[in-house]
Amino acid sequence: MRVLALTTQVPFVRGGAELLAEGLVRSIEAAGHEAELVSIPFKWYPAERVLDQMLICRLFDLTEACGDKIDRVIGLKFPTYLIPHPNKVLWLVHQHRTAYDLWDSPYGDLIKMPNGPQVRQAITNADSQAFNECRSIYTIAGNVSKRLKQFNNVDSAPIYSPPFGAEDFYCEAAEDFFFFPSRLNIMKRQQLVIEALAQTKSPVKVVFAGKSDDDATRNGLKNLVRQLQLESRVTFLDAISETEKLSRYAKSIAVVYPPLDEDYGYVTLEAMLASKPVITCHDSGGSLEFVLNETTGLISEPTPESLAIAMDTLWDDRATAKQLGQSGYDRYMSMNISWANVVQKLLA
Amino acid sequence: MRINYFSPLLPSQSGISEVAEQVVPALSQYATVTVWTDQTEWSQALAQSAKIRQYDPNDVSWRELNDTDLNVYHIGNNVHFHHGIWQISNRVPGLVVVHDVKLQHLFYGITCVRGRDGEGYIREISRRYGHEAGITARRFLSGEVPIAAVEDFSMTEWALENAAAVMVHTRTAFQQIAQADRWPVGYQPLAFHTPPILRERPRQAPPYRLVIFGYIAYNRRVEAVLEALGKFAQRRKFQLDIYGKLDDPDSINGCIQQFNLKAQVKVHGFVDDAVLDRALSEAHLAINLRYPTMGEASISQLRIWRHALPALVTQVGWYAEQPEDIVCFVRPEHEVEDIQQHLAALIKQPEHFRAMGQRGRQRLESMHSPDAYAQAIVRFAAQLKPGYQNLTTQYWLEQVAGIMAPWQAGELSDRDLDRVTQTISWLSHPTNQPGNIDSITSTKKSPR
Repeated sequence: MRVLALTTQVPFVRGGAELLAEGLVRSIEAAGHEAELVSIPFKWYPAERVLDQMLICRLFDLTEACGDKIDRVIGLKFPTYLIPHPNKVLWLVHQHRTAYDLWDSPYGDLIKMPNGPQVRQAITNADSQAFNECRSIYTIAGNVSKRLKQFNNVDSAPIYSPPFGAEDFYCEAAEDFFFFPSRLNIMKRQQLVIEALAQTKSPVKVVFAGKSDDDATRNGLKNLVRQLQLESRVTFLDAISETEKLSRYAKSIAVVYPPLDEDYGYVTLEAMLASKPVITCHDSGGSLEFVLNETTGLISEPTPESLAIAMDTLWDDRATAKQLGQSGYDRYMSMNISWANVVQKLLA
Repeated sequence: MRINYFSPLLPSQSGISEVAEQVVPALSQYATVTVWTDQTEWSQALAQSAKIRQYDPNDVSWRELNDTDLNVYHIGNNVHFHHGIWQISNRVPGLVVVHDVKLQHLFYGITCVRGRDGEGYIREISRRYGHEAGITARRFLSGEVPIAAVEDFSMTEWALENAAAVMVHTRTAFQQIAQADRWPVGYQPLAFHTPPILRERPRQAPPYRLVIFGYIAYNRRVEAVLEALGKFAQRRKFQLDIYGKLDDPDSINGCIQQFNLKAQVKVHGFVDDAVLDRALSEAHLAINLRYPTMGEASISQLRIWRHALPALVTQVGWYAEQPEDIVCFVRPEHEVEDIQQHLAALIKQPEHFRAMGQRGRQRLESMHSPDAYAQAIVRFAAQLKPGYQNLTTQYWLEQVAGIMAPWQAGELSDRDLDRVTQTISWLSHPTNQPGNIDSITSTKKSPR
């Protein structure tokens, strides 16, 4: 089978979605098929740029290449799933969220743009039509399926995928830090963690690893650390190698991961693979599909006070942290999360 | 329901601000209304019924405008009152209420006077109306021809480029805009409040008092009125009072002198509302001519009717749409002759004119209530709620046309064009296209 995975890429921004797309292509090839990634640069501002990219996508012809039929396309992200194809399957990473669940949230930007409402409407109209074209609809997580049902009344099934290099994770004795690997992004809520640190009773330390989406976010977080006089307890590593990432996971007490309504969140699964508990929040979305409160991690309220209590708890009680981490690992192993399963369903 | 209302407001000297003063309280019965203005002062009475927000067209909270049920934009010809409103309407779609169908004065003001971009103005006229129109526009800018030469290049579509729907006050405007088949369009008579008449009409006997009021520009035909009166044998049976700012006082005063009308004509200049209302209540006949018309419905005429006053109007545009037993028509090409005939008829049958004024007031009460106007806006809001797809369709069409034009579009195959057309059609989801506003009227035929 000749298969194309369709996704978008914001130039110089790299995160879980990119890893997932690459993992998908590798896994399809590993299953004996030909596969390639079609990645289209994406820009969402001003609002009209979104319309431009919808039109561009819809005008692509991916039914064949050099005279040879393309048997299947797998749509991952808006607006690439608008590309027409008779054998289109959706494995939705997320929709254009500022047109849906984030529209009137503090994170919504489309609502703040001139002509935002009609662009939003164009997105929802086109989405509905595109979903009708798909032979089957899957998502990367239950949280994404929930949104799809809520906003588009579309039924879908989640298929979980393993993180990149899942077999490489390991666990070592904990050192004195929590680990928070993620792009520095307002939705990931590094700020909440820093504010929580200021309220912990113990001298909790956090290591952040990940590139910032923009200078303003990075500078804002560093300024906040200075204002709260937390320089000795916060480390920003920026982008790190895979080896260092595995090592940081292995040596952490726990992973702190409190994003706002994450789609899926490889970080949670990576923590489980490294036998580390996860501290997350009630509104963190995808991580809640894996973290069981006081069994594989702690789930707090999305406030600095509540998060600080959770962090103090595991900082002060390393034995419990270790136990929760082990339970997380066991839970991961029981869930049959594999690329083979993903490929089998998407190519069925 | 939340509605944002953009309009000139009192104390600005715009008839549309008087409409706002009456419509906003009525609208507030049905919706939470926020009135937006770029003026530095506004009517305190209006602030009793709606929140009033000041805005800078270059620094607006788009979120507040996006997160609402309907934005209502009142667009007329005065650049001072409508430039900012037009700028916002270009960025956030909504219901555009077109007060003047010919908006040449507005866009001349925006591009040439404020923008100091004469070449841009000519380019825009050429693009929309062709090469010859561009030449005329250039001649107008160089002073070779008056603005009347370009008034027929109405520029209305420029005002409506981002409109989700259009509301007009005249049947002629309705037909004209509906013909474009681009926007949902509704016809709703202009609103004007009708308090009880406190004063009885004056005795129907000479001297008959004639009144002209408003902004007195060339299209108010005052020179023709003065000529008709000056050459009328029984002119001593009339007294003409002119209220309002004169665009060309020398011309008016010259006519008064030329026709020896000093005893019959008094020019008062701008007066406040109370003085004008007293004058209207004491008058026998109002003269409310417009030629050419910019396609407006006349707020002055509604004010005249509020006083149950008969009126002479030019037989064009909205004025021509009025029933013959309610107004006296003056044909543009026979102004002097027609005015004199009507004056003679007033002397002969004053009661007939008095009855005509009463019918005018009845028409005002039955057709022009602020409540009906407010309800029409609410219906638009309800029916537009499902969508603005037509605007994105238009955007895509223009994008494609813009991209293809330099690629020698004439050589593109029908197949290529079909594919693009089908793609835009697919994206636009035509099954959900909003239709015309049925509860108000449809675009297929003229409203009755």
